[in-house]
Amino acid sequence: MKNSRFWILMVAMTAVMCLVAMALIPIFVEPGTVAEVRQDGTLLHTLPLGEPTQLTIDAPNGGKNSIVVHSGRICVAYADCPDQVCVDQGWVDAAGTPIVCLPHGLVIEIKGGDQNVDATAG
Amino acid sequence: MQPQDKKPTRRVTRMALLTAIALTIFMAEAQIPNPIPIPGIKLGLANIVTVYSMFLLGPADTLMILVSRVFLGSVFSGQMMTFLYSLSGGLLCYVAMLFLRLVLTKDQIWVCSCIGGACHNLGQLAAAMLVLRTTVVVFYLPHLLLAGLCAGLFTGLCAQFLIRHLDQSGG
Repeated sequence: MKNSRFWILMVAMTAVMCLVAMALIPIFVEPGTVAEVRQDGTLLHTLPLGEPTQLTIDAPNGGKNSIVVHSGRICVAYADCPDQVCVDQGWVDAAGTPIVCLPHGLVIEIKGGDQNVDATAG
Repeated sequence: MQPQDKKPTRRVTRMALLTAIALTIFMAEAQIPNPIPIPGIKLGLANIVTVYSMFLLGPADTLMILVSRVFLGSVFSGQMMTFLYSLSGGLLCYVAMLFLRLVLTKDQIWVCSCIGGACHNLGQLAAAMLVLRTTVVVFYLPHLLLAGLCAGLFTGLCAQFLIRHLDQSGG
């Protein structure tokens, strides 16, 4: 395939599809009411977003994450990993943006409540 | 394209040198704060070395350089969890490049890197789904694909210019 136009088109199409998906996801996911905190797939806590809480989670490999729930949102306030991606993700209140801490295997997933309407359950 | 080198000492030395360069780039990049707060997104400058060796040294040497760099990178950064993600991403990227190098000309090296970058992030996402045993991370699929394409485009162009200039200077 000597023609570069084909490849440019392919790459551009994929990029546009990604952009469309990124724009659509926040529209279709609703703000959740419950946050599920999982570590390596095991459910540790189910936190109602309406009740302000603060807790620290110890990872099996020695890491720590502090989770804060306040006014319907959740965030990781502190993590002792070097990349700090979960802290930088900030406040989250919708199912479309789970907070993930890869070094500690931590996932915070937002759900619509007791009835589990969305099909995102792990 | 250069023919496969028959002298084993020269080959080993060149692979060691490229691994050292890739590892240095990897470690230097890790010191730069990540501006995008999405897990798994980074520029991946060490990919320049992978693309370069893929096109100039061939698949066998590239695999050795890639695996050594990923392993040593995880050891030096002190996070063995990164090893799993980097390796699964790196291997998927490698497989994609294996096929792409057969159909691409020397002016299309950026395409190889672009698709390789997207595949790297796909592999990483698959590893994350297995390790974290959750499917919610698929929400990051569009972000990761797009980031892989952009980062791959950048590193691919770097590798392409590098190869062109080394060709001209007879390196």
